[in-house]
Amino acid sequence: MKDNTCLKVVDKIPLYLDGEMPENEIPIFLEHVKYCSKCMDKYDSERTFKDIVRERCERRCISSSLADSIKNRISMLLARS
Amino acid sequence: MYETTTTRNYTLSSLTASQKNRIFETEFYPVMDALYNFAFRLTLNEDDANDLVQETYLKAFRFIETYQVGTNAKAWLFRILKNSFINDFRKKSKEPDKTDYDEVEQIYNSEDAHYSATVDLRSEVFSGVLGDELSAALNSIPVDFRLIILLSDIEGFTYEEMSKIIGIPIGTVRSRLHRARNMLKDMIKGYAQRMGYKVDEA
Repeated sequence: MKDNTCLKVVDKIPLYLDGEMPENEIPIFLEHVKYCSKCMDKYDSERTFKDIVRERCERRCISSSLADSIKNRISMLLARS
Repeated sequence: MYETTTTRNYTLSSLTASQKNRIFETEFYPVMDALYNFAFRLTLNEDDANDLVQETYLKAFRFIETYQVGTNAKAWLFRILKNSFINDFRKKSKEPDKTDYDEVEQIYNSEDAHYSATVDLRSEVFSGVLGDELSAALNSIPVDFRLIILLSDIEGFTYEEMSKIIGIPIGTVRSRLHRARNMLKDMIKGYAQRMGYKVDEA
């Protein structure tokens, strides 16, 4: 019985972390995670994973020359329209 | 192709040049870096990324009348870029045909409901991964799966937005994201093992 609950909770960890969990399910979910060390470990692992993907992947920026060239081109198209 | 579901309160070609300019300045240009990062992560090539971003803005100009002012410009532009990528770049890429992934996904979905069948790693393992390793791991997973990680974890789009950008149901967004994350965790696990980390759950 308890294992079944854990299974369901673990399935829903990504939903919670992705901000996709329905409001009414959040308190029950958090209550379980708070008191079940196994689920808490999984929650920590998933959260850390999501955090490092967001924070540590280098973000590339567009070169200023390309940005300028795109803006110039659009300006020319707008002037003609 | 870029249809919207809600009714527009203006007729076609009703935008003046200065209104269009304002849309570009206030809504389209601010996401240029995000578009470029997305394009680079998809193509893994600077020239191709440059072409894709440029093409996206030219298409945005061409289809601007179908854009609803004040709605989600970022999602709209990401969708245009993703479609251009599929049409122009995937054809000439060496990656296996998309149907291969669809098959994989179907098999995966048919054994579904096993979201808990995740790759389990201790959170310390993730904490030890360097940005370069993570980037390399992300770049090495198949593009359909890389794409959904980019949209979700890097750009923070909702499942519904991703469903529209990619053109797949929300349920598929969820299962594909799950699969993509497992692939990425597998890569990180391999890296951690080579570095001598103890990777398994205690």
